[in-house]
Amino acid sequence: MPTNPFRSARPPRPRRCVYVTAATLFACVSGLAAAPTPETIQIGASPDGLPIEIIALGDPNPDRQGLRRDQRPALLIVAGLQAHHEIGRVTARALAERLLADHAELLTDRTIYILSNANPEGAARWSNRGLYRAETGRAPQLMDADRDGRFDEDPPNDLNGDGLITMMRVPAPTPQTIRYNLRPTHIIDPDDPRLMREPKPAEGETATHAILIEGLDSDNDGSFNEDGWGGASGGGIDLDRHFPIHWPEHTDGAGLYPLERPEARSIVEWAQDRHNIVAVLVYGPHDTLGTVPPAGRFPPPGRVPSGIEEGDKPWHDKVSEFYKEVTGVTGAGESPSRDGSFLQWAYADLGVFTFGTPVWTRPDLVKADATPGADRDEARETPAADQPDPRQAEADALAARGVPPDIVAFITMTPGERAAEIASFEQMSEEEGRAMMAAVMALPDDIRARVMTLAQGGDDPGPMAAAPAGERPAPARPARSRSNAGSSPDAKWLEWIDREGVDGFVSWEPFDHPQLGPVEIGGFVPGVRVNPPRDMVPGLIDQQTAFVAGLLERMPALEIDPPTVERVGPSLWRISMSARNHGLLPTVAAIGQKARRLHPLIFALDPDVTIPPNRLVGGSRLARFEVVEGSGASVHASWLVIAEEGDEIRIDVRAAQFGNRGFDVRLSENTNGGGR
Amino acid sequence: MNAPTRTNRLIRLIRIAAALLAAASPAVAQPHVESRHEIAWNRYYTVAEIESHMKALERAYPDIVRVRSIGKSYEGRDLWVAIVTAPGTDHRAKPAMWIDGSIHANEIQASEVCLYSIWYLATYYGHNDRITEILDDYAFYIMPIVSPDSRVAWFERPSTPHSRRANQMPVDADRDGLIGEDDVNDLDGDGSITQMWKRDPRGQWVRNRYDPRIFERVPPGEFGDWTYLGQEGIDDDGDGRVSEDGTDGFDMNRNWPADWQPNYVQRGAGAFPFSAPETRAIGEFCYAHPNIAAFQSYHNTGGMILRGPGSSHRARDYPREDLRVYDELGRLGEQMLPYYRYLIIHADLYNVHGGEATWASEGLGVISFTNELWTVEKYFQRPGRPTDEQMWMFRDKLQFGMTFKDYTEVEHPHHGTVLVGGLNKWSSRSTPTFMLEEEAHRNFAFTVYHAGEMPRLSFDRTRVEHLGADMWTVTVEVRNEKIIPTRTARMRTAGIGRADLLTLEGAEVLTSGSLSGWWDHTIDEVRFEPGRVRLDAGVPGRGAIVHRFFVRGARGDEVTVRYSAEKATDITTAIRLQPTEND
Repeated sequence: MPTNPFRSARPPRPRRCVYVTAATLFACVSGLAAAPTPETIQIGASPDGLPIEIIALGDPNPDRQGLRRDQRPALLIVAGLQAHHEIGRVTARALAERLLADHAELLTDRTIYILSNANPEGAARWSNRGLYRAETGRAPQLMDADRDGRFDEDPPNDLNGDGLITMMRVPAPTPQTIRYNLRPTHIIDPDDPRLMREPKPAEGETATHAILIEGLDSDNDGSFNEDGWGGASGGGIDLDRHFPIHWPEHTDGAGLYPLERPEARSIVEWAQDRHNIVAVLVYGPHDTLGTVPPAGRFPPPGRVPSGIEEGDKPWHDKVSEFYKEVTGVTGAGESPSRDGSFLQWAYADLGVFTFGTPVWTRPDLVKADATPGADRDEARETPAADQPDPRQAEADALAARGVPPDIVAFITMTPGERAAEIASFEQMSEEEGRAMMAAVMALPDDIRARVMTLAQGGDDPGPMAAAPAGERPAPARPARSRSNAGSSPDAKWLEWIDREGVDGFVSWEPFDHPQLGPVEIGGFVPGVRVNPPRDMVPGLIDQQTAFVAGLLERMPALEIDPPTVERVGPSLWRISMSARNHGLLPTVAAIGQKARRLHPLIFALDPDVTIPPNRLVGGSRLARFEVVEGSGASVHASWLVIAEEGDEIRIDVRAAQFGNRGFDVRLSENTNGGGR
Repeated sequence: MNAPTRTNRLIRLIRIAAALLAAASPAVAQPHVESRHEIAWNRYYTVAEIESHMKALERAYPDIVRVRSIGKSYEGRDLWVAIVTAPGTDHRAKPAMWIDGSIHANEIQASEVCLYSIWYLATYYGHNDRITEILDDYAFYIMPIVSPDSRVAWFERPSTPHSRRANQMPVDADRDGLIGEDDVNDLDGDGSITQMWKRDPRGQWVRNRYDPRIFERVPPGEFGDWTYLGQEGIDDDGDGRVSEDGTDGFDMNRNWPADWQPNYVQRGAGAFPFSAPETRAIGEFCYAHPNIAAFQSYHNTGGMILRGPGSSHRARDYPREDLRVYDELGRLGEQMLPYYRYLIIHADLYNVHGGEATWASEGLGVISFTNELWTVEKYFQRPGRPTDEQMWMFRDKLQFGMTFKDYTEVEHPHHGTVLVGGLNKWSSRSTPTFMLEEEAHRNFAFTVYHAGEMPRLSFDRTRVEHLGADMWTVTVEVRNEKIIPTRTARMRTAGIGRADLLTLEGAEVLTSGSLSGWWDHTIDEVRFEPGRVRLDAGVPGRGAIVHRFFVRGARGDEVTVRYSAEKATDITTAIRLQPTEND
């Protein structure tokens, strides 16, 4: 197994638990009940036979309600689908240890499943940097990306021998670029010559460089790095574009069909077999905690959300708010399309609350006083939100002017998200498109102009642009211009790299390319914008431990009250039952109520039909409840039965996520049934 | 594989001559071709019988028919595919047509149509010119039973004409947390699920005084003698619903990875694309056989030749060039199949997400049809739906009552004495057995037509010109005489499969390029690998491409030009570097 570069970095705090062996992990020495032993479950294997393993945390013994680990509401944590996202794998692995050590009490009536290395073959390659140091997290698989009958024949090449695959910037046009039909697309940013940006033709600029991944046209077909590991296309399957919800069919890396790879298929089969998963947390490049995905968007044929359901938005907002409190994160960085991702599958098909975070967010999006390493407990107790988030302030101001929530979200998105959002407009149905246009036309003039500019990919003129006098919102933030140096995501990264002295950027150096002539090679070190420096890792793990603990506390928790019996007449009995959800989240997300993958909560009176149908004179034999709302909401059912005193009646509770159980009720004056 | 050579043609002629001599009868009657394994086409066959016929055909025609299991069904039955092609040839090197049936097992005649196709191809090879040529040029992969588990269930267990459509994977259809707890109940033990009636002085129905099989509703305000209790069955789980949770839940024709949608959008979709072992086995077979260039699946009923898309938002996945091919084949199909109409699934039928035949179109990029076998017009071979009276006449006078179960009294656990009976599972969707052979033949003939339009390539004109010194141009014209292109527009635009390759070996290729026609003289230059040209658009249907190579070589040198396509038999030609006579 590859060694973990972060392994030595342990949180500098007194430990309550002692590491025992690699296999059995920990025994808790605190005076509390012994922490449950984690169990490793192999759910599948990669094509090369590497195991796909889930660690299950939770007491395997029946609890006070008689439920075992797989019957208690569970959080599933998945990391490493995109294997270069090493911080996700490391954090997920560390969480098992930390939760047992610090939050064992939360695991008595809840379960956590952790799949920390969902793409072990990809992880092995990512770790094998000498050979494969390109920024890709795919699952290795021979491919013919350019469909020429040859497989993986043109991967990138480490031309300058620095052990990294970076970029080439190629002056163009030259006879060589003309020969290769390479058109210039970028200029060197005059404000920071390390950065490349698109030219502004209206300001007299014209493109001077083409940008390519470092490499040769190894197969002399006129294309560079078009078929191989880490190249422009090819190089295996992207497991996060390989799930069946909005699967981007016939695109590079999506696979011949969804779940072609056993790694992805085994997660789906395993998760669909579990009834107890109520929430999923994904560590990977998708960030739905920094910015909640748009609600109510349904690409054709029209019912499967590309973001979230309207009904789930309050809960996502709430969890996102809590995440920001714990981490100091103020927004999401670049987040890839969710089409075909595990995250979107878990939400829109498995039908449970699903959250995604890169664990480490671009530093300029994190408040300075909440940088990793700050004491976790303090971070939790004092929500570091003294000064209002400018984005939030702007959102509030817009909302105050009557701007609909999704347009507010659109305006206050990061440019990257907005680009993704704009791209998704093309998938809108005509009806959705008309509805959107109507909403935009109804906006105040200045806001409409701003939205139209943004929707056409223009720079944000800012909230001040044309706000009528007297109606001006409080100044929220300076107008942003994507092309200004220092404002692009890459510029932000460079700023951080410079400030922290991180070895994260290979400065452009001339190189005499055998096919293209003089070029420069340089750019970001692969993975530097994905995985934080080692010294930040303990703090990030602290944050995630606190977040996951808080998430567990907010998960739905269903309490079933034993049935009660009343005598209504000589042989006529009323039997009643109720259940309460004392978690914050509802038992079933809005998407789950739509997806209906699981059966509702059912109180089944006399499931073996020992009472003849004509003696059950009130109530339905199966009482069904699609959801029990959170914060103490409850549901009730009652039945009228003709029977003799002393008769016994069974009631089955089928609670899917919360475990099945049964009660035997003896009919006598005002007695409660006993749990079985 | 090379194109049919003169030798092949000669062998074919000799075979036909030999067959005619063997028949040796005076030329008064149409010569009858004796099959080495006769099968009666006026009846239906169980899974075991179809399997045994397939194997018998393989034994009788071992050089034409090979029967292979491509996987196991959910319940562990073999999934049999017959590979049918000319003796001594490699089916993988030829364009092939995939044909299957009974993915919906209640649509039973689909399997007989497939079996008939295997039988006919094997029997007539070497006896009939057209069939011989088809098998020489092409191959067939024919899978009569996609859902053997459910065909067994339909034959052996109580069913209706409409049930056992799904496979037998357990589903909690009524979402009560229990699986399969309220399956059907065959109260009268006739193998069919029919109707239940209860005598009731306040009922709304009376029996027709001339034909007591017919129940009639009484006028409003009057009382009849009977109440309709619904489909034959028992509320086994006491939830107030009868037979609501058997195995009918997972529709394998919604389980394919093209526009697959989860259950809440597409009922019956299954857990994920290819979650059924049956669909996955077909998918993997098709991906492993990129020579599949035509696709046909059989269903019932309605008399339709269907093409995709299954949903309007996929319309752009059927480019106009491809629609011309679909239309030409489909319209002729309408002529071959009386009362069948050529229709578009989403526009003329209903929305289907993740269907098999649309996957073949959109996922594999091949021309693919679904035929809905049998239609009511066929009962009396005239347009329009027969009246109820005509249908009773048909059942009585032509089917001798075999599709009706007489009403009998049965003790029902909840309702007491009830009357059970009515039209049985053979009554409405399956082709009446005496008409089965015709149905099978016409549909088979449609697939022979479709298969016969898979690409067939030849080098048409070639031209060599001397440019002075050791410089030459070699111009080739590659012609496809069939309707289907070597690469459909769908394959090209979606990037499916390997591009076609045109190569020249034996001389140094300096550059090359395509010409828009034979008389064009300006090439569209291929600057990289000019001697190994990727042609993503392939060769169009009933058309040709022209390509010119600029080569360096000595007079009299021989170069080899080869055209290689996934969906056509590769062709090669040797060309000598010497000026072509003026043409």
